[in-house]
Amino acid sequence: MSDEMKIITFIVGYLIIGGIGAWLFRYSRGKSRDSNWSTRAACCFLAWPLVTIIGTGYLIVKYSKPVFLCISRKADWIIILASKRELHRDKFGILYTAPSPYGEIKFVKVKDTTGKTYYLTVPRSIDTAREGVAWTYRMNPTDFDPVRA
Amino acid sequence: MANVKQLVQGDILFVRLDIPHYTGKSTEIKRLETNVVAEGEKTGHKHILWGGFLYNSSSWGTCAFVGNEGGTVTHDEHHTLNLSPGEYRIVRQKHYNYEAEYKREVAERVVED
Repeated sequence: MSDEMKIITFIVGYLIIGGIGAWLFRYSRGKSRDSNWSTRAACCFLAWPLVTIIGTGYLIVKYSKPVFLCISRKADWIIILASKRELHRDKFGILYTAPSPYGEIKFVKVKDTTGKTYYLTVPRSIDTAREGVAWTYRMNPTDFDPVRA
Repeated sequence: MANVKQLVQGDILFVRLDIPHYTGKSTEIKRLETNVVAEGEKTGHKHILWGGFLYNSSSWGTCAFVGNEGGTVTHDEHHTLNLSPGEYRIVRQKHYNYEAEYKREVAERVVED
């Protein structure tokens, strides 16, 4: 499951279980006897972890770690990209270096034919953009000269 | 169609094999049932080979055989890639995992201590 799917599953799980909790709360009390049911149902929805302990426990055990890891990785990348320093540039891409939680890292910025730009981490021994992109395809940099679709 | 040696479509590289590899008889080569070269992990978009077939080789991994009339590789987002007749090694793009390297180093340090 991709990181985005984990986040979506977490949010959808939260909404579904919260909604069920709110619905059960509203109908178990009876609409006629409780005029302020919608406010209470909303409170219940927001505070569903207290109501549905089993659901909360299950979601926390299963998804909290990957979700927080995913968020922290994305935050790391934002900081890395903000502090990147260009090392080399050629027709294959741009080689950058930046500090990271794992020490100084190197990565190449590549643009594909659809116009999308993406970053690929490469080993620290890489010195040129061509070398970096060739490494990502397990190719010798001197032989690497592809035609892009 | 020019005889280009290396072609890229997104994260897939096709490297033309100088020496034809597929014989159809060798036991180490297994023809694949599918024509899907690769599938995007996040988007689910597929690189599909037309005008040929895929096979698994013990020395080169997944390869593509393109017939005499030439072949194409299609993808929902990328332009169609034209392949001239021949055989191609398929390489998927990878990235360096600094996190794994860091964990490995930490584990080694712990062992040393």
